[in-house]
Amino acid sequence: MFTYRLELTGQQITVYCEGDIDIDAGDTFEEQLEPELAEASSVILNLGAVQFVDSSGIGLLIKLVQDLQEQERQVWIEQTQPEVMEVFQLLQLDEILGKDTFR
Amino acid sequence: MSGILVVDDSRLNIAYLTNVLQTAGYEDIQSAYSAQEAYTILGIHNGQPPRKPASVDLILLDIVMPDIDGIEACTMIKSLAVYQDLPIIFLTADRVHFREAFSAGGMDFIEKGGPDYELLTRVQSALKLKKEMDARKAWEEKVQIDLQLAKHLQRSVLTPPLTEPGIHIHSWYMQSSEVSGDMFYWKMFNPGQYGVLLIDVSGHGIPAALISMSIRSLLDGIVGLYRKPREVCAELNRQMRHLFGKSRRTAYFTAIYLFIDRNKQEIEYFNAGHPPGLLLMQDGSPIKLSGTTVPIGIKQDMKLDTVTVTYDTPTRIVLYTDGLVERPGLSIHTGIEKLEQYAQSLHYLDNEAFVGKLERLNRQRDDDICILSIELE
Repeated sequence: MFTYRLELTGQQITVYCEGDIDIDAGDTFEEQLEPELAEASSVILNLGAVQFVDSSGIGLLIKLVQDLQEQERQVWIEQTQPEVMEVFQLLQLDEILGKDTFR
Repeated sequence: MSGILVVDDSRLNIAYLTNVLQTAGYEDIQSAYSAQEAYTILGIHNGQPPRKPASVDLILLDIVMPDIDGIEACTMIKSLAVYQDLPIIFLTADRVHFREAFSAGGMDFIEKGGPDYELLTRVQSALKLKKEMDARKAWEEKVQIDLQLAKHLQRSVLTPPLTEPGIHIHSWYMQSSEVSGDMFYWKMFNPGQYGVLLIDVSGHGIPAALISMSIRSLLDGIVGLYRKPREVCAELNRQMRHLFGKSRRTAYFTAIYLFIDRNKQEIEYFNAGHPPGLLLMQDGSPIKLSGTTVPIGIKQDMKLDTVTVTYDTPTRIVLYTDGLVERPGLSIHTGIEKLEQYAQSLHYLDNEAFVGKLERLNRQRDDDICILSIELE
């Protein structure tokens, strides 16, 4: 089960993600989260409470971040858990989204 | 049209119920004056179910009857798989039987002497439910048959084992939801050179299988024509983006491709976001064939670097998809380490037995799993 909470500071939105990012998170990502980020000039995805991301979840993250980057908005992914980071590294996510995206 | 079976030892009751139902428009009504007679109508003989269920959609069943009472009859009928979804409504004059009646599998009850509209409403809703269940069951059966066919179809395109002097390739293929996003392919270019590819499409089930099957259809051309890792990688990426680049969700696959040259005892490979292949030689620790670039289908200009390793014979190379080493909440590196140790402990097995044994590492199976083992002598 994937949920998130938003924190707004000026033009910056922090998304505190919680739960698993997998195929079941797809609708939440596309129908709720994406529209809510429409106004932000920079977005921080906090993955501190995400324990598991599968291949479908990676696809969702790539789509979300790439769409935002194409609109020239800044995106950071932070506090990624070690087990999740291993999967990111395996898929070379830093190469895909840019090394500066992770902090 | 819905068939109703009325079971009651009182002829008067049966005549009354039949009349009410007929007046309401139900035409297919059968009656039985005992449980035994009801069994005969349902095709049940000596407790054995019929091969095909009788065309009865609802039973109205009296509780108090001589010989076999309604509760025993209900338990008996419901114990047969063919009648598991057949609704049974009890007819009773006394609420003392309720608890037993419901635990026997009755779905509802009608109080004798109650108003006609109550009888008709309960009959109507039971029949409606039965109809919906039948439709759902028929749909599920159809989907199951389709999926089984699709599963068979997918397995039929898998490359058969290769056993040539000096090289053996065997696979183990497990589809998590009938069809899989994993796919593999190998080709002998000449007796000294071979190409071996393993891909894992993101997600699983039908969407992933559609992608893996369409990529499979291109492999004779891509691997056969380009052969070398750099060119194979570039062409796979181009085709993947061309075919699925416009889909609503990011479609991609991880892949590892080896170009094996036995004369040079050399392997050139690319690894696009795939778990590391393991090169197990007789001496020393395994060599990992780690990632060289991003998964296929994500970036237009992906890195096309390859890595070349040399090997001593005999050697064994294990390629696998992440389903074998990944478990929620656990480190994937730990899974890979376990695989390394386990694979080394099985070195004495012949190639086919070896690949079959490796599968035991992950029995959770909520993901597709594919394992390839290449033995070079």
